[in-house]
Amino acid sequence: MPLKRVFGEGLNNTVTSDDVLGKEVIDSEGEFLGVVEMLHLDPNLVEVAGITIDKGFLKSGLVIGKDYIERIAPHAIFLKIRPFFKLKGMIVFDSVGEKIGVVSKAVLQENKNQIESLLVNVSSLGREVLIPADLIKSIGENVFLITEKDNLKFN
Amino acid sequence: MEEVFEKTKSFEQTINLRRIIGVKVLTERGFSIGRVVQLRIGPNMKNIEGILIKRGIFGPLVFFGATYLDKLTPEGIVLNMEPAILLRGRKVVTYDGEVIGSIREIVRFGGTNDIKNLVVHSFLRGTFNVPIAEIKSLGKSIILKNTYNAPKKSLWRRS
Repeated sequence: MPLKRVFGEGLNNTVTSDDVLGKEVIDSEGEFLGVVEMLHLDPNLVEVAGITIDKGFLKSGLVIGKDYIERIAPHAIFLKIRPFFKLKGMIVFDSVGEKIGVVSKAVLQENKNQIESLLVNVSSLGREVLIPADLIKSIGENVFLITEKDNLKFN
Repeated sequence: MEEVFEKTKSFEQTINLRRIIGVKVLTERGFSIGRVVQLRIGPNMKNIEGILIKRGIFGPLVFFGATYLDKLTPEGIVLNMEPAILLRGRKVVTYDGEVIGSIREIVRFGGTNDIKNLVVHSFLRGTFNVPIAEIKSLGKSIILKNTYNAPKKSLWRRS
């Protein structure tokens, strides 16, 4: 039976929640993060506020605000960002490629996807170093710093 | 120790090449690609022309020309690019977010790192070429532009 439609304007180019739920989410690096589990609506503005991503079995979910969503494509949702929870476990190298340690925690600015600092586990004995964001040169597969290992202060 | 040099770096500013052998090689994005097995110099014996690296115990040997080296120290070697050969096996995704296959081969311009096209394979779409002009971004997966028309799925027309 055809649906009866009552709407003001602009409903022709919309997608439904059924179209979004269960869709793959791809970050700005092209990595598949998981599938959309929930849609968050702003009750006052009556618009989508964000999505929750199911990252897989036994993994905690991830909430992404709508400002970080690039577009909703027919088969996937593309993000503008690479979520920084991905930093945990990355290896940190100094400017000449010497290994410093492994990221144990990324401290973010409030709930934004901007790094304030990285807590890096230097050895299995629990030595750690806090690396401020301004010492980070680049983040890709791993993390490169702009300085050499000797210039860091270890705890 | 006495030094004799003219218009070149002093002894302190140079590196003992023996210390480079076995050093880990990192790509621009920090991926550990292998370890140095040889340093190659030109016939004029003045400059290092490149490094030969081994990717894992049973991995292939790969030569990187000196122009692709960013830093060369006894602590590590950092390349100034992401080698195209690392793309092999990565997923290819259309602008619509559909996975249409994975990369089987990377066709480059000669021996450079510049990609000419990607050879993509999928069970239902067969093997097909994706020119570099149709690629939007290269990363963990390859995202294509909205101008690219992927081959249709077919069980009987595989090549």
